Amino acid sequence: MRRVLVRGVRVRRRINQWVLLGAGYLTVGIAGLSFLFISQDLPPLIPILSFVALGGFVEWRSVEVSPKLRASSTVMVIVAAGVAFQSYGSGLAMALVAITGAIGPVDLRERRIFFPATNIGQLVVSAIAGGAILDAIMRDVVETMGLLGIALAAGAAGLFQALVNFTQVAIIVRLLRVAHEASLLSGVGRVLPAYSLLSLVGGLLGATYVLVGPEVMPFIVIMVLMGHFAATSYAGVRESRESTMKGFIKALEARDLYARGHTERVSNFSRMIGEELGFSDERIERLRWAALLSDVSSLAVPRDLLDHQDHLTEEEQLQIAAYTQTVDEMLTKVEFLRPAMQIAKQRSFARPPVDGGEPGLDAHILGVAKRFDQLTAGGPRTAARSQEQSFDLLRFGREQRFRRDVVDALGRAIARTGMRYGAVELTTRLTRDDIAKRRMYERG
Amino acid sequence: MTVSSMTAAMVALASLAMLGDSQSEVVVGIVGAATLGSAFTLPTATGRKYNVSVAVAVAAPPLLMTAEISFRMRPTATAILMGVLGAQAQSLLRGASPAKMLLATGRFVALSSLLFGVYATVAGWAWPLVAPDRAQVSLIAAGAAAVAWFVGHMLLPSVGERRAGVIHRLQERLPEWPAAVTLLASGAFFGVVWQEMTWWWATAVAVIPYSFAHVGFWLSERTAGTYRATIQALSRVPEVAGLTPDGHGSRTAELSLAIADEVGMLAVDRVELERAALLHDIGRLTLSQPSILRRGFSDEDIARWGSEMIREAPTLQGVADIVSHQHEPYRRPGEQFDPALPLASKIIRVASAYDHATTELGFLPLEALELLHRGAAYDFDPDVVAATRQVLDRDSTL
Repeated sequence: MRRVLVRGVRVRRRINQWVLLGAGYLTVGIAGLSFLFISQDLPPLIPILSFVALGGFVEWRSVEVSPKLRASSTVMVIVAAGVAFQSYGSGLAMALVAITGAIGPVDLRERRIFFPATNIGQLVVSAIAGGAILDAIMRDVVETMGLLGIALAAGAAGLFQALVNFTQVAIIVRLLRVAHEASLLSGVGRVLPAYSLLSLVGGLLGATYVLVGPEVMPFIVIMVLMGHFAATSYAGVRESRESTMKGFIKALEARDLYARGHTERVSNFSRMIGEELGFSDERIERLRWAALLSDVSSLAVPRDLLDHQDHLTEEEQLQIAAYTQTVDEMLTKVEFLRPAMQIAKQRSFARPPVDGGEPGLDAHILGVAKRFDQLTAGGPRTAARSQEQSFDLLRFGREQRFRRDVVDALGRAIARTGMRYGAVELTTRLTRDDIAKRRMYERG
Repeated sequence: MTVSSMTAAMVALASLAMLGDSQSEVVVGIVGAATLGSAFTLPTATGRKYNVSVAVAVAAPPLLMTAEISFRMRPTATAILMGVLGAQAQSLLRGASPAKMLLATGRFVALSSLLFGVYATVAGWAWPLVAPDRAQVSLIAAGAAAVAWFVGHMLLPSVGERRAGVIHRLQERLPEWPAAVTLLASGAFFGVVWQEMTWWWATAVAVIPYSFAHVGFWLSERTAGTYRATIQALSRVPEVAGLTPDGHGSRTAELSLAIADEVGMLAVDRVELERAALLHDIGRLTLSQPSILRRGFSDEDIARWGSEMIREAPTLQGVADIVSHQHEPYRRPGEQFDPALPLASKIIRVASAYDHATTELGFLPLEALELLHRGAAYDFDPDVVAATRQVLDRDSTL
């Protein structure tokens, strides 16, 4: 009862924190916009509305071009607007375009209030900072360096705006302790050069608007939209390719009662170990793919051979190896699967890796994840083991071929989630020999 | 190397032709940029590629237009003539036949004339309305000329094209609009802004944003290539398992595409057809289950299992539909043919049967074709069988 009460108080305190932060940022945003409206002149209505509509569209339709990067040309449009309307004051034009990104499709779908409210303040503050840099640099540099000066000033302004924005996100994340949002910040370093480059191009487009006039507005719109279209098209094909592979694996697996969900679970265990060992996002993604691909080659193996894996003759083992190797080679030829296949090919520790060397850490992770799932899920001829017993077998059972740090990492990761896998404890017992090994292990 | 020597030769020729003319620099710049641009291509959704020199062609009219809003004969004719020479040189390098070279030249002259003609007409009409704003005239006229170019491009036959119907050509090329708009807008952008800034800056302003889109389209095409390779690899799994003959999927896909080309299937539909043909036997993987082998199975089961597997991929729903109908005969005795039966399914049925006959049954191509003819009107669509015959005739297989 007491625990429930304590938890309730904690949740309420946390909600209060979110409300306070959202309301605070919204106030800052409104105050910032009011300040800009008072201190700067309003740019011509139709051109600024065109920029606002363009910025809103590309932000709304932003796409994921890689697991860590969502492509949005909004920064380009924000900076272009800032440069185009610099004579009126960059801050207001930049803020008007920037706040179109305050609310996204997810916010609407999930009826979120906190994020849009926070975003308004955060984006206005970033725009004011970027606009101030743009105004300060353009005033001094343009006369001496012309268009190049404008482009460089725009690049610097975009970079500064992004830095201010990310700093605010980092502060919010720290205040609220939002773990999944924190992972977004790990890729900031890689995104910043892209922001500078996009800002530089935005600066060029804005400068063209200043030099030629509103006639270039249709071209600015078309060029930004076509760039966005190309990124969307790339992201679409990429997504199709990956969803096809995942869909196939799922469908093929569904045909086998015991394999159902196996690759998805192995992929999940691999990800957990990778995260526990502090792997980069790319490496974890590669591991996940290796896990998904590791069983595709078994599809080519005749069922009667697979069903008798525990007592195969040498000739049958060679037959299985020949089948799986052929499929492995085929999949390795596919460029985007190659890095994952290099790991997946070492899935079986029964035979050494193709190049004759020791299996890498990634292969060990995959091996542990696969074996742990086999032990906890059971098979057509073997009963499911309990979680503890599975770990015991991985650590010091007959199959003592897995790296201890990898097994321990999986143990810690599972303990943290609070999930339990496998059969209920005490359904089966360890042998006396296993228990002796366990004692030795515990003594170090 | 070839491009740089071609550019140098074209620039030298243009300089010679324009010696002493006030617009010589402009013409030499256009010819040089067009020759250089011809080394780069922009991929489209249909698999066809656009030459980047198209952007230079759209930029040319505003560059060559005089202060009196007209074109002078010599510079304009020189620019077009150099373009013709460039197109011919490219055709020669690709080893095109004289007939194809003639078609390429005719197409180039027609599109260039359309571009300059529409630009001059619209500029002449717009100038009294917006004078003295030259940029506005350029914007309106370049926009109209770009639209005219794209319409002309869609309607005119191109080299290596089999079907000549105008509607078919429009349907075939309309999906190319994003690449076309990107190139045409970049060229027109340059044409509008170049007078207000230096050549270098106008080039930077037009080329840098374009290059973003170019990289995006290029990545998209490259990824589509690996997507195709992924499907090819998956289609080989039942072959490695010995459940289908080795290479059956790729041979069926190859023949299906040739038949589709013969019957005039659109490029976007051909992509789905190829995927379906590669994966049409994926359902056979289920045959590795002993229980199914004991129970027995039909072609309908294979098609259903295959389509169920493919349907798990959200973007392959169309392919799953094609595969699910592959077992269905064209017409059952006493019944009318089903108009809802997808053409792609009928093509795959024929191509697969032909490959089965020539590889597994050991038939000669003519015997296999005879088998298809005997099944025409019931098992196989007679039009598809006739197209298969055309394909085999053309490839001298028979």
